[in-house]
Amino acid sequence: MKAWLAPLLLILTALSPLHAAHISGFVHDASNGESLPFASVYLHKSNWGGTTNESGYYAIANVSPGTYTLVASMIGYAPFEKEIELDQDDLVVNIPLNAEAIAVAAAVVTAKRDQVESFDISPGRTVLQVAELKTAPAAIEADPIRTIQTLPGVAALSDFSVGLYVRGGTPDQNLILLDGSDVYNASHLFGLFSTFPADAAKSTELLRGGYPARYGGRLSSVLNVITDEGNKEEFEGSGGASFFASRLTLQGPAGKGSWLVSGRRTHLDPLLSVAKDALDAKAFTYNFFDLQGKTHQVLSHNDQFTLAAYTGQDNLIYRFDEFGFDLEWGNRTVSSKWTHLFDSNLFGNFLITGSRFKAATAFETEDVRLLENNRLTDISFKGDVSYFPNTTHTMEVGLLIKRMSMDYNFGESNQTWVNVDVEAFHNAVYAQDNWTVNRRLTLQPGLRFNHFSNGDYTGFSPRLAARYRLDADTYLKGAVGRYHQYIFRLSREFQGISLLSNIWALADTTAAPSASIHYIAGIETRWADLDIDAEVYYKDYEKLYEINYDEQNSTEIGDIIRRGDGRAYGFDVLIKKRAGKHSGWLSLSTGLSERTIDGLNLDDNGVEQSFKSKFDRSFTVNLIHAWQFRDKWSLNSRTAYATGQPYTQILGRGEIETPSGARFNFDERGPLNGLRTPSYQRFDVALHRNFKFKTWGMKLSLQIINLTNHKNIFNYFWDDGKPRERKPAKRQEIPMLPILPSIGIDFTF
Amino acid sequence: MSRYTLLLILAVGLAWQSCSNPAQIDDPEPMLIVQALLQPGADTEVLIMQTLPPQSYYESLVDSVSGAEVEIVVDDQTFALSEDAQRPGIYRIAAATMPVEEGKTYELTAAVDQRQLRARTTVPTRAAVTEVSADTIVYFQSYADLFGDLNHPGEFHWDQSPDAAGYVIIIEAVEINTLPISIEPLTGDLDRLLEQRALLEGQVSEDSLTTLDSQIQDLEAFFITHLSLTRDDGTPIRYLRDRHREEWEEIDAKDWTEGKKWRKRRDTLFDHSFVDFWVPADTLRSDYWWLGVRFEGDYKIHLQSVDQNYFDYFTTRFNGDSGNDADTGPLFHIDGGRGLFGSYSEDSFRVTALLGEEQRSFKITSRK
Repeated sequence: MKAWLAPLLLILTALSPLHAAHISGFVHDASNGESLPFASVYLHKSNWGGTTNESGYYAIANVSPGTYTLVASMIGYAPFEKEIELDQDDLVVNIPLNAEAIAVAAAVVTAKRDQVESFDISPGRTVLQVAELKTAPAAIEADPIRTIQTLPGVAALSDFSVGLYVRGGTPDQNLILLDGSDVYNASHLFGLFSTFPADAAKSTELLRGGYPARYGGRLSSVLNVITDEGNKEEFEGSGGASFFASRLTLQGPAGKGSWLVSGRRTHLDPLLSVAKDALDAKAFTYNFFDLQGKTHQVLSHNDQFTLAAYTGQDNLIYRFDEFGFDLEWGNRTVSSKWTHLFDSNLFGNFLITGSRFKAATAFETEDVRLLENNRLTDISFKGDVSYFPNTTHTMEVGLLIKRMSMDYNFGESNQTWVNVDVEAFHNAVYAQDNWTVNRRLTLQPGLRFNHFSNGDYTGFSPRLAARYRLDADTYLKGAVGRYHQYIFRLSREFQGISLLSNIWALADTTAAPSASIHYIAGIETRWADLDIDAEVYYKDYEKLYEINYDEQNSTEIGDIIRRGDGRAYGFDVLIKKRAGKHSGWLSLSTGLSERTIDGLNLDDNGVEQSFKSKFDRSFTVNLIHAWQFRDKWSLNSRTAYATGQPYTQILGRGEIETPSGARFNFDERGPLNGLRTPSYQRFDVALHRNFKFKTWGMKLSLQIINLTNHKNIFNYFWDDGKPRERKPAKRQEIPMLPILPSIGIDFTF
Repeated sequence: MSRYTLLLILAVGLAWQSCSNPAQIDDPEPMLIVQALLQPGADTEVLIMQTLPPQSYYESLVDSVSGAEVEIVVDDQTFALSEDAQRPGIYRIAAATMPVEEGKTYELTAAVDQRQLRARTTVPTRAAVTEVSADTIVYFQSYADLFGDLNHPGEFHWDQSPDAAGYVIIIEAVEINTLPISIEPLTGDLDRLLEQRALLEGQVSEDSLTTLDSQIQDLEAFFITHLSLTRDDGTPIRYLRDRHREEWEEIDAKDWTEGKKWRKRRDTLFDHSFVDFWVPADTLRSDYWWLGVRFEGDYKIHLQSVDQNYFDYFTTRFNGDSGNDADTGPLFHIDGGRGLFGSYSEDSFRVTALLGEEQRSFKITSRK
């Protein structure tokens, strides 16, 4: 044992009962050895236990000698039960869980429901397993982010955006982790698709607010995507194809563990080649790809090592007579994780991660080559240690050392006009405890301390979550926490579509970090075979920012952004049926998101007035339904309704002529986002047919997005009229997706 | 109270409070607009307009405001501007009466009905061009395919203006005859007159068509005079690029109405006749690019040292279309209205562009 841990352990173990022992181990999928995070493991008829961590590890410490029933349960798997005889020696029980057929699993889950303990303290937390991520019908490609957008409190700006607007927060305020690495721009094709292919995602954890001290650096939410480790038992392949892209995932045993390679690439190239000729262009190509690889090695019971890497890139080249442009942007991440059991009740998790987002844009004509390059690099060390001193405490301390650098330059090929090159260290330490005060009350106090070197900012982030058990099925939950963010995203969207890649900037002496406080209270209960979560929340934002479009000259981040405050509050309900022939969820959200920003939405006296955010939706309901109506057939659907999103009324128009003779019109605007578009309605269906082709499992899918072809309006604009006919302007609508059928096939072997 | 009742009450309460009814503003009062740029040595001309409802506006239509009281105060002296009898909404004062001088601050007041707008500008000191790398530049057809690999034809330098907010540079093909977009309705008029004539032809006597013919001829003469690739002395102007020349010639061959052909010619000539861009105040050099040189002949390169109002408007003139909450449009500095009341001092020089007769496949070298 490490010497530095000794004093801590000495104090904590002094509180432990004498002659007690620890029960610990890993929970994994029996069929492929894949570790299973977030499974419940506990001793029957007690509230001793918890959920497995991201490595599938659990520990129940300092249990008095005796006979117990160890139970492990997880949706989609048959419950595990084992009689254990505990004496004074520590007991290691590695738990294999067997996946169950849906119908069987439903019966089992229902039958065992009264025995399954919930150990989830955090309100606003939803975990989606891989099958659930594919439940919602997909627009061409299955996309985990699209599924997450159907959860309560999560809004989408439009059909064209995979950005997550979580309880009044913007996409840049989400901490997106891919196997522990921060991902900064998680989208392809100008925001239409996310960088996470559904095939390799094992589970996705969304924390919509009030998240614990182990997470920090973002104001709004955490999206933690954990990918498969790879099949440790046998070689396995899976994949799929649509007219848009093809996917392939291969995995198998290697060494003392497994390997996995997963890739996806669009294949629109021949289609674009035809389009190129039709457009009389000299070049027109677009593609994106994702490639990820991973190896997970179980060196011993005490040591596991994971090396994971991801790369993804979009490439667009378009050239015609006079002009051409070339855009490429993408992420690369690499992470190495070492998990070590110092003792059966002391688990360590250490990561070194690297993440780089790079975007390069070139605009070319004869003697002009405008180049814009933006690169954000993040190299981090993350270490956390979980200590299980007894059955009532699970303590965790952690450390983050993060070096971030941002390099932006713009100019011509032989001269730079704008060059910003900054770096900063974001360091943090945290401590938190899961404290089971008694059979009813569980607390999770935590404290995080941040230091950001650029501007020498420090911030204490206290967190507290509490859960109170009313009865076997019902819990009250609450959380409060303070959060800080030290980076800013300068989004460059045109009517909600990211035509140019986002630019990330770092806080400095001219631009203080943003902060928020979350207050969440909720109730979690079960009725029949439904899980019901209802929560109210209030988020108070300080030093929010918007791009200062008036500033075109300065490179100071303090000039480039406007600052202000905001708030969001609302009520979310999630009713979920996780197994059976019918499964899915109903989510309802009602709330408000507004902000007050310097220089925006001024009244007649020049004073800023609060305004609703573009993504504010008063009321949203999503019904995701999966129906296994035949042995090999299933019908999935999504029904969505939301109040329209805010837009700004145009009151008048004028024109100004500059000395060159060019004329520019401008709009006189009403209150910012003072009106709303008509309500959003969408009905998507997906019909799946499973069959065998020789030894391969196949799934054929027909998906139709917006089956009723409802015209959903994203925004309005006024055209320029027809001067030649002296006909005035008309208000034009910017529609979202019309009816969009697609067909695809998935396979496994 | 059961927990389900509690949940229901919370849900209904929040849904009710969050479904606020936004209010549409009907019949908003028009906003006054000013357009004026003061320049040393020039007469001052101030255009007063007002916003039009979007459903009444079409591109190039302005709603001039007549009968306004327009005054400019400088050095505690107040000058009243007179409205142009021929062009309502334009208010003038001669340079001899109110000279515009560098370093002086001019305060504008325009009042009409109960509305009033105010603005002020301080005229910046002129930055003088000190060095021009080439006064004649030669273009070869092979340049067209180089896509960024070609060197710029020239550059120029200047002394810093001590008080300019920045610089606006205009590269103008001075020999090109073109027209602003405001004449576009006339192209529609031509089509309507021609349609009318075609309908009446054969139905009425030729004499009855005289008035129509005269209107048609007047319009066509106007377009021929003002939209042409001909110098004032009658000599033709060549496009530098074959591609542009072919596109220009193709307009004649298109199955378009006469009005549309003139419209296309206007769009093409106007778009090709100038390039304008800005550079920050601490920059003392600029290139001029082939991108802004489309025709053979003389180019005037204007270096404008501009005040804050002009600079802020010029740098934000494209704002307002992104759909972003924070993109509220161009930046104005007008109390009680919108628009541009600014000033600049200008230096300029000329460059002649020639069309190289020999095809060359190599890049030209820097002319520094």
